[in-house]
This record gives sequence, C-alpha cells and structure tokens, in this order.
Amino acid sequence: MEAPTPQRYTVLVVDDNPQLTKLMAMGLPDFGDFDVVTADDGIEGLIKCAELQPACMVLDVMMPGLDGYQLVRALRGDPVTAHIPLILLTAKVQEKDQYIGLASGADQYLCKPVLPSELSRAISAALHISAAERERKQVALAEEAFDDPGKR
Amino acid sequence: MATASAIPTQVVAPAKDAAAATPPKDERDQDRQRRRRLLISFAVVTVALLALTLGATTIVQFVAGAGSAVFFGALLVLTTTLAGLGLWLAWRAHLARAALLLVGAILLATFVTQIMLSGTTNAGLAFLLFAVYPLVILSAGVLADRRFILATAGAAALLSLLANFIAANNGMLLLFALAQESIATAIMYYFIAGYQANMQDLERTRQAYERMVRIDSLKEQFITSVNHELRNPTMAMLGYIELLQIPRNQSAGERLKLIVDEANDAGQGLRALINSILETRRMDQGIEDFVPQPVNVRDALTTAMRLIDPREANMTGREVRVRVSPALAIMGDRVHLQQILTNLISNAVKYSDLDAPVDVAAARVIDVQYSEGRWGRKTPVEREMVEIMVRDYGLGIPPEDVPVLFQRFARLPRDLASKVLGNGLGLHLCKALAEVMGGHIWLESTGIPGKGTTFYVRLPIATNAVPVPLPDEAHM
Repeated sequence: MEAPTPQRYTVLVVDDNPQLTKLMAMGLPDFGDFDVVTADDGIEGLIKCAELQPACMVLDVMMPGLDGYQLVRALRGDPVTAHIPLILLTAKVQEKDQYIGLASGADQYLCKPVLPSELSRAISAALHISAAERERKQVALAEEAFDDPGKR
Repeated sequence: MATASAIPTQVVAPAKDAAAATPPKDERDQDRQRRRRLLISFAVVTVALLALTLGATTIVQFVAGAGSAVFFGALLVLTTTLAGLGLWLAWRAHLARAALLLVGAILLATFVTQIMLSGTTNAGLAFLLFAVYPLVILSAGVLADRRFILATAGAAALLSLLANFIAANNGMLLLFALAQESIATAIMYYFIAGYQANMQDLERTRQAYERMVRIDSLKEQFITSVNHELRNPTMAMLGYIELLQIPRNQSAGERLKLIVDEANDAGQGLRALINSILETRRMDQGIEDFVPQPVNVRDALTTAMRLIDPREANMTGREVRVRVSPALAIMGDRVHLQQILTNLISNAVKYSDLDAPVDVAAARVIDVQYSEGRWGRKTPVEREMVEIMVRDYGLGIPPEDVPVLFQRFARLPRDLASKVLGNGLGLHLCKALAEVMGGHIWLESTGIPGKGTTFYVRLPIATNAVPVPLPDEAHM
C-alpha cells in the first residue's frame, strides 16, 4: 500500500469499458486516498472535469466520440484544466502510439493490462509533477519531433 | 453458454474463396481491358491502311480514267466507315462487335478490290491480294477468341473461292491461297489456345496473390482488434484478483461477492473471445458438403432466433416483426440457412437501439441475372427464388464501408471503437453460405442513423414444395 497522504484526491477515470471503470472505482481507493469518479466517453469526461476539477485524470485512448488523444489536447488547451495530471491508459501498445500520446500532452502512457496498485502508484507520481517539469518534458518532445518529423 | 461469436457452434464454415474454381469477374475485366486497348490500336491502323490503300487505288484508277474509280471511292468510304465504327465500338468496350466489324471491313475491301482489279491492267495485284486473307486470320486470333478465328477462316475461304471464281479462275492459285489460310488458321488456333491458357494461369496467380495480400491485411486488422479486446477483460480479471489479495477484502460479505462475480465475468468474456478466435480457424473448412433439400423458411427462422447468443445481442423486449408464409421453402441446407438468419438478425439487434424493432420477411420473387452471350449481348436469365429480408432501424452503414463489409475479418472503424462484440466474420460467412447454396446477398443502407440497414438474401426456391401464396395474402 501507498504511504497515506493527508489529503484525499478526486480521480476522474474516462473509459468506455464499464468493466474497467467499475474495477477502478472499486479498486483504486484500496491503494490510495482517492475518490474515483467515472465517465463513459470523452464528452462526458470533459463535462465532469469542468464540474469537479479533479486532481488527476485517467483516460482510455480508443473511445467513441472524442478519443483519448483529442481529450488530452482539449484539456491541455484550456487554461482552467491545463494543470491537471493526465494518464493515458490504453490497449495501443506500439511505440508510435505512445509517442503520440505523450506528445499530445499526457504525463504518462500506460499499456493495459495495468493492476490497480500500479495505476495508483502512477497517479501518485503524476500528482507531484510540477508545471515547470511538464513544460520541460513537452519542449523536449517537441524538439524531438522537430529533429525527426517522420516519427509523428 | 459463453460463445460470443455471431456464429453458433455447430458451424462448419466457408469458403475456398471464389477465385479457386471459376475465374472471378475481376479477371475477365482485366482481360477485356487488354483486348480493348489492342482493338483500339488495331482499329486505328485498319482505318489508316484502308484509307491509304483504297485512296491511292482510287486516285490511280481516276488518273487512268478507269470507270472503276467510282467503285473504289465508294468502297473507300464504306469500309473506312465500317472500320471507324469498329473503332468507336472498341472505344465503348463492345469488343466482340468491334472485332467483327474490323475484320469484316478488311475482308470486304480485299474481296471487292480483287474483283475490281481483275479486269484491269493491274490484274496482278488481284493475285497478290490473296495473301491478305491469311493475315486477316492471324489478326482475328489476336483480336478475339478461337471461335472467332474459325469464323474468320471460314469467311476468308469462302471469299477466296468466290474471288477466284469471278476474277482469277486459277485452280493452282486457289489451292495455294487455301493452303496458306489453313496454315494461318492452325498456327493461330493453337497459339491462341496456349496463350489463353497461359494468361489464365497468370491471372489466377495474380488474383491469388492479391487475395493473399488482402487477407493478410485483414488478418492484421483482426489481430489488432483481438489484441484490443483481450487487454480489457485481462486487465479486469487481474485487477479483481489483486483486490482479492488485500486481506480487508477477504472477509465474506457483499464486497467479496461483487469482486468474485466481476472477476468471473471478465474470465467469461475472455473465454468468449478465445472461442471467436477459434471460429476463424474453422472458416477454412469446406461448406460445400451438403445435399440440397427443401428447408422451410419459417422453421429455420424460429430455430435461428433461438440460437442468437443472449450475451451478444439482447433479444428481450425486442420487437421482431416477422412476415413469412408458413409454406415457403428454399432448396439448400437447413444449418446454412439458420446460420445466415442468426447472423443477420443478431447483427440487426446489435447495431440498433434497444427499443428499435427488427423486420424479417420472406417472399417468392423472380430473380433476373444477366449472362453475357455471343457478341457481347446480355441475355437475362430468370429464376424463381426466395427473397429473405432482414431490416433494422439502427445506425445504418456508410456507403463507403459497404464494399468491405462482406470481407473476412472486416469490421467498421466505428465498431472497433465501440463496445459491440464481434469478430468480423459473420457477414463473410453469410455471403459464403448464400453463394454455396446458389444464392446471393446484398444490402441497402443510406448510412443515416435511424434509417437502418436492410439485408437481402436470395436463395433457390424448393420447386416441389406446395405453391406459396404471394406475401400479401399470408401474414404471420
């Protein structure tokens, strides 16, 4: 188990697979001080994010409507939500997909299957990423893309 | 209980893909394209040659003051027009007719020229022109098929006989001309036979190669989608097991039961997925082994609806409106028909809203197929068939996705991103089953959500069954 933090964090999980949202809603609080809220697709995710201002978000990539990448870009583009740590959780395991995910602004890219304990550790880590650090990472990625435009 | 594929387990599935037995339409199209290009260039050369030689002859005759100049002029106009018409027909892809016109034009020009020249100072030319006939026979082989070579050879022999009778009257010459023509015919006949066999082999190889490439890419897609669908239930199962390892969760109670149930559900989902992967292996076994017999459509429908997997398509509270006459029967295989119906109805249910109805109807129809006869004429072939219609009021299918729909492993992008279970085999199977029973399947959809999709299957009617009243008279 994680070392308990004094504060409880709201985590918003967006995934179109009800099996997984249920698992995370039930399992994540066992491994950290999280209140888990779930959304079934990208649009609902955006709405709930604006409503709840979660401390962290976990996003699936392949979803009907707005997919994970688009959702990340939308959240990063809005000054109100730009600071929220974002974790992409996906079945797309190719390096290319990982690159796209990180380049679109996500803090972490995890490939399914991921255990609740692992996810909770990733969330805890993401909660402590500072804005400066995120910006530095993004610049590094952008430079890489600039050096090697074919990669995207 | 956990078979999640749209295919019930007793399936033995299709399909040596179409190209194996009969050359597919595509192959003939390729051949036609080649012949069309050939005919067009041949027609251009023919028009030019006829215009040049006949034009020159007309001028020579005119200068010599011969009365035949007028005939040559007229012949020039006539044959050049015929050849021009041939060019136009070749352009419009009426290949057989174009070849007929072109060869006819040359034969006619040769024959008439021989007759015309025979009485003049240039009579020697008339003899020379006997050499044109074997050349025409050679061209006929290049332009069309073996039957056309024989027809041309016959016409050429007849014309040489006539020309000799009217103009030359020389037995040795005639014998020589006929021998030349026979040799040309024999050479061309056997050459073309071999050539066509080679081309067919080549076409088949190309087709087989392209099919393999296509199947390979579809398989790739399938693996991607299976990969995606495997990861979710695996993650759920492992996740719940991890929760079970926490001592706090192990005390009996509501929470323990919930965790165990969820882990079990995820495991069942995995099993279903593995089953559906196995179905793809079974698809390679033959489905041709059945003895056609009358199968009552309504009975098959009743069984088919029972076989729809409740995990995959929830039928409860679903209105399925059936209009099938009790006496209607097809000639085919009972299990094949049931599989087609199960697949189509479960698709209709899967891809529409929970409260949207599904229509199923079957009726006697006259099916008209066109077969290409001689000289490219299309003759309609009429058959009595049973048309089964399955209509939903769901999402519809975008027109651009329709062509790939019946392919193996094909799933629409929107389905890959959705929760709808499927392995991309159902419609491919339906098509193979319908075709193996001598029928066909197609669909109509505007692609507008709510307007839905209608699938049609036509199968041979059981002829010795009791006459079936028209659909208006019998409702179910």
